Amino acid sequence: MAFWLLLGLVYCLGLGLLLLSQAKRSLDWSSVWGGAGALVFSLGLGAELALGGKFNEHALRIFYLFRIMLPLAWLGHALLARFWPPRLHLRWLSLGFLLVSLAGFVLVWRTGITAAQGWFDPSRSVYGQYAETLATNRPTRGLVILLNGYGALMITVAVLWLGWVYRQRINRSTWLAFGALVLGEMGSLWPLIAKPVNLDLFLYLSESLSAGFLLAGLLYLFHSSNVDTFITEARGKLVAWIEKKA
Amino acid sequence: MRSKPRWLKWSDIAFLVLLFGMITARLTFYQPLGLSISMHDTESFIGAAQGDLFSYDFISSPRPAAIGVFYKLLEPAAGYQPTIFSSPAEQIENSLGYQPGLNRVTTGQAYLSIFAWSLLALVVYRNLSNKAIKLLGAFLVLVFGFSPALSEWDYVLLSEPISLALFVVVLALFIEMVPRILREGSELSTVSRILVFGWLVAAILWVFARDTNAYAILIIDLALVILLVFTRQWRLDLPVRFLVGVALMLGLVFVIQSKSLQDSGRWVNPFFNNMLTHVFPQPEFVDYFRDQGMPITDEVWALRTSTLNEKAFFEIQPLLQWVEAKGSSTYIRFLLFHPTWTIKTFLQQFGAAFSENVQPFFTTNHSVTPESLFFLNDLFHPRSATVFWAVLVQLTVFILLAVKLGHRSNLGIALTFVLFFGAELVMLFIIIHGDASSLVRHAMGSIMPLRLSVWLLPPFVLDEIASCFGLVKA
Repeated sequence: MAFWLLLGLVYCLGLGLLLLSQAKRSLDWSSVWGGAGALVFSLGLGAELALGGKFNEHALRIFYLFRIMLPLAWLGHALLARFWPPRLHLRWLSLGFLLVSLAGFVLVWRTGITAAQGWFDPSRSVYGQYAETLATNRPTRGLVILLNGYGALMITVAVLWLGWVYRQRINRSTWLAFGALVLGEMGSLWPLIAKPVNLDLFLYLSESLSAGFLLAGLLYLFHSSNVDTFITEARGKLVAWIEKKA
Repeated sequence: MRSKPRWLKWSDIAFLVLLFGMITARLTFYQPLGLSISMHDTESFIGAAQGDLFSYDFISSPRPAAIGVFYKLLEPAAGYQPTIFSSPAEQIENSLGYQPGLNRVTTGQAYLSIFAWSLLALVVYRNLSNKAIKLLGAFLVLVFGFSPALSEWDYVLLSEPISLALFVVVLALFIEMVPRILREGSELSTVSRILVFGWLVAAILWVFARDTNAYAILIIDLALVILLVFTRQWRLDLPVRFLVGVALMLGLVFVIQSKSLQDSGRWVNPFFNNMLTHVFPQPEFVDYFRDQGMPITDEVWALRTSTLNEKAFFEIQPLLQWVEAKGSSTYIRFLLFHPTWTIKTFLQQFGAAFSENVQPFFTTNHSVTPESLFFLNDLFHPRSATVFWAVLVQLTVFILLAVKLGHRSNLGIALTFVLFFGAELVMLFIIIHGDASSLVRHAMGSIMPLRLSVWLLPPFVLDEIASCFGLVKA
């Protein structure tokens, strides 16, 4: 039933390519982050698939980096880039985020593989095995929590804020997109917390659907005219609030 | 300002590079094309090819006519000499080898298959709008088509490889044809007419490549008739006269195929297999057939525990005469009067039909075909019946998006997928109840298209999403 995961990967990759297509046309940085986040997610799912066939240390590192550590943070950052007024230091924030991601890359690439690789079982879920097989140090694990926390926070805040402030004007499709984002976020986090042991249809579906939901929600928020109107307003309010505080 | 010629677009060049790369991989990662392996049935294909091509006996020979035509066209002056046999049921398995004359057949099968998958990739590429999604769609089609589950069949001397390749041609031309007809309406262009003619030729060959394929054509024909009947009510602009001709032609092909099948006696052995597997073990079913006049004598009853494909039934003349006269109609009535059993058996066998995804006739040479290809093979040709749900969900999303956007050509493609999905399920139903022997092999004709739909639908769904957000020209 691993084909469900591949199907999720295909949709994730396709939605990522669509976001990048949009970025190419509009030179919009939030689409670049979103598209890159989707490609990161696809790579992570690809590594997860590969580990279901045979153990490979590079595949395990790619899985850790691109499925465990980075995707939610990149997609969350894409959402932030969409809402945050461009003139309020977004460039520096993005550069900082990129450097943190790069640090994560270096840390994971330097992480050793333990003797547990000898009894790595491809017929079981990699989530239940990576902690023993990859000798992660405290900064690496800390970065995983930090980045996932950042991504989850950005998505949650964006949904709650827009949902609350513009609740009267939001149409049904936008509510659905919010729902998809929240479901996708939870679906993408649960295997990191629950560390499921079995490779079953539930895990495959949750992996595929969480990626699909997250990206579909993101794509909608990036391209809906209904959302466009109040994002412009919300940006204005944010600028006014920050200027008032300053 | 003059616009750039179409062929200069970067995505077209990328498509050609992809196609060239995948064909090279197809030729590199499998054994040389001329190698082959024969089965017991191969002798009868060779025999069927000896008849007069323009006689009715050729169509009603013991083997499907299109396979006979293929063998006839490729036969060298020295004839065919099958020397390497395989029969998994009898635990006989051999490696691929050179069989004089038959090397031309397997080479022909491989070229036909490569052509068919390349054509489908081209059609998918042409009928999508977003450049990135176009390439993704073509890539998925080529990976699916050139994976071991299909490519290794090209070495096998049975009807499946030819039938599967012809199906791919039929599907490809259909996907190309439907949006054109919807777009051009009653002013159908010459190119479109040639395309429809080409589709008809491919469809006729496909119908005569495996008996069950005729039922898919019947479903397509019925859909066409419904479309023509409701043309005015649905305010469709269609080339009505031309399509009436096509519908009549398809109907005629179905009738000829059914008649030739009945006359050929190809269905008699499967009938006995069904008796052995489903009827003889259950006393109430035996009583039903007895009541219908089937001569279940002591001689027949003594064979009730035989293995499948029992030849001794053919020696009992009263039984054979009854089966030839009333066997098929009685069996159809039996299925209709036992609906619970019929549906239950279909559902039970549905999962079993997905249980294999590689040919069982020869061992793969892993020094040529890497193990990793089989890993990919398992992903692209899943052995899980949940494929059905993957197709159904994607199809629903595709239709909803197509209806929402209201693009006629996309709606046409969505309905094409629905039509083929329905036809595949009907075919599978007939295959499961048509022959109790070799279910996995016989079901390939509908299982492969179902698996293909899993990977063919994502690019179309993604392209619709791209249209929703105005990303089609990106």
